[in-house]
Amino acid sequence: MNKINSLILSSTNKVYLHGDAGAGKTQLACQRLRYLVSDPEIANQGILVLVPQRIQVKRYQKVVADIKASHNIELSIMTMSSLVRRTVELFWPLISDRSGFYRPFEPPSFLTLETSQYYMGRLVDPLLAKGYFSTVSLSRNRLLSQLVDNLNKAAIIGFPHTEIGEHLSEAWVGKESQKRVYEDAQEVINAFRSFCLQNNLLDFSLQVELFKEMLLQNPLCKNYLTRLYRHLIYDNAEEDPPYVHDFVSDLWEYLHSALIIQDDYAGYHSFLGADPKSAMRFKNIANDSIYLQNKDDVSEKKSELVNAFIDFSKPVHYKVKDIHEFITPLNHRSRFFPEMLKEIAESIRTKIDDGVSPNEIVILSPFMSDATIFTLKNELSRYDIKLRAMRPSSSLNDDSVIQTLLFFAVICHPEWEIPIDPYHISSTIAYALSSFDLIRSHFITQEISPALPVQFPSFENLPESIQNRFSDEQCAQWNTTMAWINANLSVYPLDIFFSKLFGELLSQPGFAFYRDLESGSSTAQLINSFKKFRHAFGYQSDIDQEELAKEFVKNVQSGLLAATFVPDEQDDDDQFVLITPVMSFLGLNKSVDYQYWLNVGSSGWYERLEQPLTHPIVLSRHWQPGRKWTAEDDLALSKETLEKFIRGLFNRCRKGIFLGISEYSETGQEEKGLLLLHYQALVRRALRNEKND
Amino acid sequence: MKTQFPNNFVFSQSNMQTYLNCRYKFYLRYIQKLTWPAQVTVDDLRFEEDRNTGIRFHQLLHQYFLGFKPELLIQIAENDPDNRISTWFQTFLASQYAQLQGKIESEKTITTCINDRNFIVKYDLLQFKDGQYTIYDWKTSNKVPNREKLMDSIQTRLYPVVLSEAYQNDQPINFIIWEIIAPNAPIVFSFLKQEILNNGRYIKELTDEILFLDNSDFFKTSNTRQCKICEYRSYCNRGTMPATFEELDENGLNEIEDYWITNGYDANLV
Repeated sequence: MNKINSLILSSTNKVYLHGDAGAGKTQLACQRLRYLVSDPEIANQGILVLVPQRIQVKRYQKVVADIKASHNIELSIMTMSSLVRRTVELFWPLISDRSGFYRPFEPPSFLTLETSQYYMGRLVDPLLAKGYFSTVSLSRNRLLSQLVDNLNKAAIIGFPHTEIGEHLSEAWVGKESQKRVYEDAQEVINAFRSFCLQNNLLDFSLQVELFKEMLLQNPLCKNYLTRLYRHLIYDNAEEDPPYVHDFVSDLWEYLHSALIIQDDYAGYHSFLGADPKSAMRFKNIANDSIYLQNKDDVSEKKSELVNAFIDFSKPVHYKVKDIHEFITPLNHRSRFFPEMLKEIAESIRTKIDDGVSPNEIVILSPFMSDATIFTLKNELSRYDIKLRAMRPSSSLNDDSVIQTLLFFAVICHPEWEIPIDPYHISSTIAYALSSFDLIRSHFITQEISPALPVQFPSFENLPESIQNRFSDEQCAQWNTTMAWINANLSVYPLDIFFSKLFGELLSQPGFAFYRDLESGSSTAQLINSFKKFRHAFGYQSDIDQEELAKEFVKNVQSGLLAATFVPDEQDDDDQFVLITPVMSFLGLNKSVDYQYWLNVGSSGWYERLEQPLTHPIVLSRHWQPGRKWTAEDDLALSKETLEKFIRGLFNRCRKGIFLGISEYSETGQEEKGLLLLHYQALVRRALRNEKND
Repeated sequence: MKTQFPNNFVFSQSNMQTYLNCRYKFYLRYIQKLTWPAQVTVDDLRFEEDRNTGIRFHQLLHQYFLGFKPELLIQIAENDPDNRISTWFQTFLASQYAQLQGKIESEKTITTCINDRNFIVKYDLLQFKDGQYTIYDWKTSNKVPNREKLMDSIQTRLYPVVLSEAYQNDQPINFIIWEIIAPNAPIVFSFLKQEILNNGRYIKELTDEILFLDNSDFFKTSNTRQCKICEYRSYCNRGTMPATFEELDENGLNEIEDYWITNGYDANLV
């Protein structure tokens, strides 16, 4: 350990540190950061902490906050996408006239994933009508996301975007008609890039290309970056794509010190281009390499157990009870999925009663449905246990607060002529106006003309027999609502409308959002999302605000726009049990005492998503040109993915894993996926041991 | 009950100014971190446009001090969608500030710890010449600043204190505030060592007060005019309609600036 400490507590060496998750690598990185920032001279030289996920920033920020250094600290803690964006924005004048943009010298508009998909959709829609992609059975949103993903892959892997179709075609072994689909994809991708150049739009792929090909070659920019960052700490390098490793390699000779950290057996985000093999290059160029192992008894036992779990051929030395000490099904085997959720809630209650902190418990599944979250929230609330759902890719429209805001937006913008389902009208009025109930709101709904646009009746226009069914309080609240609506018809831009709706009506006493904390953050998400959407249209003064707003609302309702905003306060709240998809949990880089696994029989734990327009392995740097992707490759990838997940989850669990197994899955299927088979095989081998004994 | 501050809490000029304007607002925004996206002014859109224009102007000056060719930047300014930028940049090029000598650090953020509490300050420009520091602050607020009000503002008191502490500097510090619509009337402060120490004491007393308050001591302001420029208006049941742009004073502008930094669409960019 002394040798490790002397390597870590240094500002002059370049170290490659690897090992299992949970072995303490990030802790060592924090120690190094503490060491660097505590020295006034080094702290002033410029330190970059690079992390693959935004959520990992906080841990390093805390280190600095705790140091209480009275000297200046030149420190940047960020993801590479952020570094790229900031650099492109700052150095835009140097490249705008040399990169093919039609309006150089004008400010660019930075696109998000969602706004890129929106623009892609505008190009794709007319082509869909002409029969493009006709042999592919895929929702529009998924089609758009795969097209954008292809462009991003080309940029982060490092091949021309014009060769995407060719790469995919070369590896394809099925029906010839699929090759036509790749050609269609290539045509749209080329059109998208031209569109971006014509309109000064910078999607992620273009930002990365400009950064790599123009800015890193520019002496002023390169000098700026190499002087800004003299010390580097790079955590979870395996979760980043190769262009980030290329950048770090470029920076290498200018760095005074570097600490590169890599998780063995990880690379969970390989479907997004994460490349652990590429990250391993640092092992060869670093002065020192450290391998960190979990050495305590529990970890060694866990490591043996995980090896036996993953490999059917490995002998098992345990008895069933030894296995169940760490990984076990719930006590009662359930027939149906909801019963199993009840069991889980009960088990969590017992744990918390025994003194386990709620934030030491996480519920995991390869995917997470609204119904599962809702049921568990309800079940746990019976025991006063709070559940926090983290679904980074969930749709904005899944949120009832956002649905309410959109509802009022449609009512206040009759020019859009967007229809609303009568049931939705009744339920939203009953929800938004606290004095109303479903019966009263149903009376109102009945008086709405079926012709578009949807228009609310004023109270005096209701038949007298109906008016008599309302209390004075309800009458007054309806009048207040109508007065606000009439005073705020056709307000643009839409973010201002949402802000007014929130502040002047829905958060006022008597309305649904009054002192409701969650409604504030949901409304802020929607406003931020619209702002990004609006800003993606740049600084054109002739933007049709009506069209823009209508498009936005339609896109939210169709599920295209995601709620990617993670509020600050959620990260370290110890009052909540967390429920999240497996992938998101692995990205948190955090260990817990107990894990509950749902949908254990599902193939979602390891199977690649159906992606007919793209391919994470074929579009990677290690794919041999001309090779075919076969069914065997698919199988091998599934096994590799499952192994990574199991190891990752075991390493992030300190005390025990509970398997939520029900005879019928959430969708009513009898599922027997590989994960379940692995577990059963492990138990069978242990039983055989017991018999032999 | 003693107030539990967030782990990474850092004092800044704007959060201290918020505290002085309304303790409860400070509590909701920085301790509870309550997101409450009601309008801050009737003219939020105008404020956002002005703010974005201001950011692009600051960026131009940053690029200038990084060594970009002025001709290139003139072209950028001329092509900006807001034609004020071009005029402002020409004004800057014609000013003495385009010819600064010495060691120049543009868009410099300093985080430091004073008396066991963390501070963050972002300087538009720092100049070190002849053994002395000068802080420059470019303003595009469209209002001619009032010297007396500025003198008492948290920004004017805090900036030299943080610089002096972080750079272990015991020399006098100059602070120049240059409002672009009054280019010939910069406001210049020169702080002697004793004045910086006095301001440091003021900052310490203020942060002591904030840190040692109980939850119940973060009460709502009695000055209900403040509520007109506060997003928590409906949360506190203090009215529905926000203030107009014209109703804002220097402190109000600072606060709104901070609101946008906290809640802007790129606030989560890390």
